[in-house]
Amino acid sequence: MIMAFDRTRIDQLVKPASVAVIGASADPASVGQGVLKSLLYGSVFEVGGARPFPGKVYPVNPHHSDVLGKKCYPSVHDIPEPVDLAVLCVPAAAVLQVVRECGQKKVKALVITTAGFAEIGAQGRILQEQLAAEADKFKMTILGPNCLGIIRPPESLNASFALAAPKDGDVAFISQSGALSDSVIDWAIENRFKFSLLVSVGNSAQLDTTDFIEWCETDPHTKAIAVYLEGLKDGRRFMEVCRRVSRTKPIVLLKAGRGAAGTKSAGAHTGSLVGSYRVWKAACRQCGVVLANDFEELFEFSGALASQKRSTHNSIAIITNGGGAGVLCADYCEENGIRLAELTEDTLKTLENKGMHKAYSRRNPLDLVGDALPERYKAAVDTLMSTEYIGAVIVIQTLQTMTDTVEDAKIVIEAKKKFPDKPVCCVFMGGRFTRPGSKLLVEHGIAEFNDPRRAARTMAAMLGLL
Amino acid sequence: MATALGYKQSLSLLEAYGIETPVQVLVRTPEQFDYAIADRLRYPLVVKAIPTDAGHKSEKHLVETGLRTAKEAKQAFSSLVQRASGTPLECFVIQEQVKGVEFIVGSKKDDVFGQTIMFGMGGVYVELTRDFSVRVCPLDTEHAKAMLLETKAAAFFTRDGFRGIHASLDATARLLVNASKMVEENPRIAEMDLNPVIATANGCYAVDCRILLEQKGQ
Repeated sequence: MIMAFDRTRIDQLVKPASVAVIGASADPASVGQGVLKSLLYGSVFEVGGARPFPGKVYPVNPHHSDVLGKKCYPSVHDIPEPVDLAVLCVPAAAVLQVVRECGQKKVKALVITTAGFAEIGAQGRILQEQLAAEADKFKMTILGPNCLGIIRPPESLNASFALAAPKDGDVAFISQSGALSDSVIDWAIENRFKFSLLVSVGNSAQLDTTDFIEWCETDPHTKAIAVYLEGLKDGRRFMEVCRRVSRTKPIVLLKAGRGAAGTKSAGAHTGSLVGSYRVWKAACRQCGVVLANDFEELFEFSGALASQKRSTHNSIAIITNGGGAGVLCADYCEENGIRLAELTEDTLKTLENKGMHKAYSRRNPLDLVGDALPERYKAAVDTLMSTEYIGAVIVIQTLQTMTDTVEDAKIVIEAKKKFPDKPVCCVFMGGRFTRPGSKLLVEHGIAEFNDPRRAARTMAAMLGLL
Repeated sequence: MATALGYKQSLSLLEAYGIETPVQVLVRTPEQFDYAIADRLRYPLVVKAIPTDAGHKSEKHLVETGLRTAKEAKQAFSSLVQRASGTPLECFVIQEQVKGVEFIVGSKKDDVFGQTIMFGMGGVYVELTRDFSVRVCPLDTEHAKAMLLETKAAAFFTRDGFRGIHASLDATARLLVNASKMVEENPRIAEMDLNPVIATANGCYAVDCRILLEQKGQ
């Protein structure tokens, strides 16, 4: 086990000059071939923008002379050049021997994809401890075992058997589940989410979730951290690290295993009341970690927090061209602790001078009325964004025949440029015909949703209320 | 498995951490009881029988409250002796009754985060209302106050109180901070209930306590 955090350990995983794939296989359905393809082509399945690893790649397997047209070595000892990182795709029974060989070869870091360790019980746990001890002997870093691997888009490194590779972005995703990461990548590509790092920590024989959060603190590519977690050993260290890191880099957590109610105890009330998820909620709040309810929130929150500054000025305005959507949004805001600013007479006068419909709502949510053209949106967005007592704005657009979704998007983008410290979320409700506007918003780092509830939740995350 | 810390030892632990308790006397015999209530305590009084396995006393009807005279106290005592027959007792407790708002303060050692502290509204009904707040220890005064104010109990801590009943925010927060310090510095405490805790306009007192320790070697 690593006592004090040493960031060079993770650097070795993320920035290798050469990678060996041990257990590289000619079988297209094998993990070994998946990892090799990820390195050689950037992605197992073709996706736009996947880049091959720029360093050296060495397949290792005593049963093959070449795999995917690359020369294959019988063991790491046979590779004539130094190896920085080895990805192990060999059966559990062979792992210990391979770890030793890698140590002798002076490999700096290992990704162990193999399952069959602590997750299967006592016998597996012993094997896991043995391999950790062996790696420590040679001062090697280990990721895993039982993990999908690591993807570092900025370095064009995909040392995983994920089916596809996500694009370069500014959110680091640290996941305790490998299988989930796979689906998340596929979904992220569909939904325009991008990553600075994607790591599956597996059984954490050595490096755990907290180590990666700590590493992200000074990673120039990471602006926000998304974490999927099932369990942790050292909660206090997690809190200490998150308390510090979350000051500069927002951390969003999706925690699995919430059902656990309090334990039945020998008659004390507290024991039966305080369930483990209540403690998680308290801990997160104490160390500035935002709790997400589901995967969509995990990435919506971390995406928004990576592209916009957080604020503690909890006093927002809702601008809408549809009364119903505005009222719904106000309800969701209230549920999540967001306060709606009361618009002053001065503000209303300014709005009217700039041109409001005579039936406009004169209050927050500011209903511009259905026929609102971009000019009326501009009057409202510019006025409220520049009003001092308003800390953040949600802009709702329902689709009417005269709605100009691209112009409305541009108005929001321009206003956000003038007031970058005020969080903005948009709800451009619709589908095919609102897409050009929503796409433009997202490209400019403004969170956009089809649903006022999701917008309110993301706003609450940006205001530090979750 | 956990074992319960005795009442007397629990009281000394609370005292060591500055957690206030009502004025009380521990007795074992009727003679000691008579001597104790003779002239030292202020009425009304509360009398409790403390079983060695320290279950919920009110559920076993081992508590008598609102005793206004020596006669009432003696009657209560003899009926307690009768009801408790067959239950192994550590002692009897005679307490000066505190009038105020009932809260619960508790702690639980979490597998992942270690000691945690809980605050909730009133006594036995907290399991129904589930209106309580939780923090991972340690706790400073500011966070303790935030904990108090995020429950419905907040109404009692306002200047005017709830229906004229006011509880001291400072004293209750101080008790919470002290309790947090106590469990943090005594990692063998697996669970603790201070239930009820009674807050008045100027003070806050742990009226009953139950402390469970981890078995040695755990």
